[in-house]
Amino acid sequence: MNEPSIPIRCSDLGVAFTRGSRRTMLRASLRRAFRALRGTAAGAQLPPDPSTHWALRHVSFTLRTGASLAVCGDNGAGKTTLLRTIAGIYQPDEGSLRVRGRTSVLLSLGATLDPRLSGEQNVLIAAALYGIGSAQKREHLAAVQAFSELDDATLQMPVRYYSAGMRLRLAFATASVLEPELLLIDEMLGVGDAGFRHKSVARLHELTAAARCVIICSHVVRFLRDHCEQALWLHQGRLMACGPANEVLDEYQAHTALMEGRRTPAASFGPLPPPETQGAPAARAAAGVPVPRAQVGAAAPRADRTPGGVAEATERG
Amino acid sequence: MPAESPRAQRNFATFWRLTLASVQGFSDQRLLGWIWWLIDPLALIGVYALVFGVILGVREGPEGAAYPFYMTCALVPWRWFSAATRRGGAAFQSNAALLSSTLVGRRLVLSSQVAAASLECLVGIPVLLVFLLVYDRSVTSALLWLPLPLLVLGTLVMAVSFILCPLMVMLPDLGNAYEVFLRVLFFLTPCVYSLERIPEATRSLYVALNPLAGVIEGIRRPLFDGLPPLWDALGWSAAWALLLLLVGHWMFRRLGNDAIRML
Repeated sequence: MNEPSIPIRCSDLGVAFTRGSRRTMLRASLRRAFRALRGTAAGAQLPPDPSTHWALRHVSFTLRTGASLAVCGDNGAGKTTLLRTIAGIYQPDEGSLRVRGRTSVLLSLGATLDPRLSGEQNVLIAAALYGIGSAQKREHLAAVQAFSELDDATLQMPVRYYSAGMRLRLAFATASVLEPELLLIDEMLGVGDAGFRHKSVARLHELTAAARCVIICSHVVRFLRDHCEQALWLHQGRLMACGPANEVLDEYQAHTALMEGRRTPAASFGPLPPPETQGAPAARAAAGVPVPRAQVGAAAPRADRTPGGVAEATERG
Repeated sequence: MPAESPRAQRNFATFWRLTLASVQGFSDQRLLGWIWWLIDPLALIGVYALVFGVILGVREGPEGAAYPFYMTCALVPWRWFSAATRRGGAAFQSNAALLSSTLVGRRLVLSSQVAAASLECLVGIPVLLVFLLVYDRSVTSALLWLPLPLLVLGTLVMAVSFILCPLMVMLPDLGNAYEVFLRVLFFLTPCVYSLERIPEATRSLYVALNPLAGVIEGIRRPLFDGLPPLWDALGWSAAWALLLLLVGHWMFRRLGNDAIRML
């Protein structure tokens, strides 16, 4: 039996941001640029600096063809940073990330569409970006319009006049009609009416059934539980757990319940428990201790699915 | 999935689509649309012709009466430089939604913004042609030299845009500082006066220190005087353009990633 192909291999990934004023950020960037000019560290290794904030660090996982992966975690856990790094928008500062696949799309309700442009212009820019030739653009536009159910007049309007639901429809239709080999979705599917939600979920299942990978970031645990087989839990930029969705999401919910309990008035000023290196991930996360790397699992392929090939491979990292 | 086109074709399609969207974005949001591209340079030429030509009585060129045409030969390329570098410098900020959600070539985004501003400045060419007819200028072979200073000016536009683009994200004050700088540079560049007005003792230094002096003069001489560019002045401009392009390319590559993270 052939080894299933691995579209994402992430090893000891680290992405850092500079915290502080604009001046601090500019100074840190220039320092890194000049270090690179002098040939030291090639600008990749960040010097120890109190303003450096690791949005992701020591994150390792693999994702196999046809998998649907949920990414969960509290606000500021590093979910969006992880998706943007996978999409190639951010470059890793540490470790390596290899992404194979013809296209990858990041969906984020507030950001995917340019509000100054019309819906049609946004669709055509996305089509150009993903290599759809001018001969096919009308056909592509028609497919997006059919899926999104937006009429001609709406598509000609600037996106800034769209409601949240209309933006979601257009953004999801634009991304999913392209049939990417890797679809990245950031906090989107909780919006929209029930009919479209049902339609978009069915589309996600079609994509994974066609041996394409889907990664979904969300706070809606129930949605993740229903639609993803694997899950990855991030906490303050560290990987807490990775494995079968139900197990990881149980741990995450235990953690959130623990944190909720701590936020009650009686407990809010109480002492924090000492950091522990043993015990359940939820307790470790509550104490701010990341999972030891040995416990980090890899998202395994679904048993009922034959891995598909990758037509054109790209590699980053 | 529809068949994917080759990378070069895809890049060009993206570049063209972004350029078109930027141009259409401007005209669709205004009642007069693209007519503003014509009104803006005409107003600029009108005001400068009134102030310098009529009120201050500046006379340039072999016959002073052609001063509006003389000035327009410099104002059209100046407008290109100022508008394109402004737009190129703000390319990351104006395309923040795209850059923070999709893997798109950053140079493509910057180039499309510069191209959009350049297309808008193209309307300056009919204005120049009208002046050629009004002042009964004959078309001379010196016009064949025009592509050379235009190429140098284009290189300068890209170089300055490369430098400004990541820095403007990191340091928003730079946008304001650049506006002040452009205003100062305009009066330090021979747009409304000729290079001969600069005292001869300091002219060489002036030309060597101002990258735009040689270019503006190099565009105006073939158009207005029917003469080839001043080669030493154009040489200095070309040297500046290449140096700034190297610096700009390095800065864009090194600071681009950090700038995207700050969007």
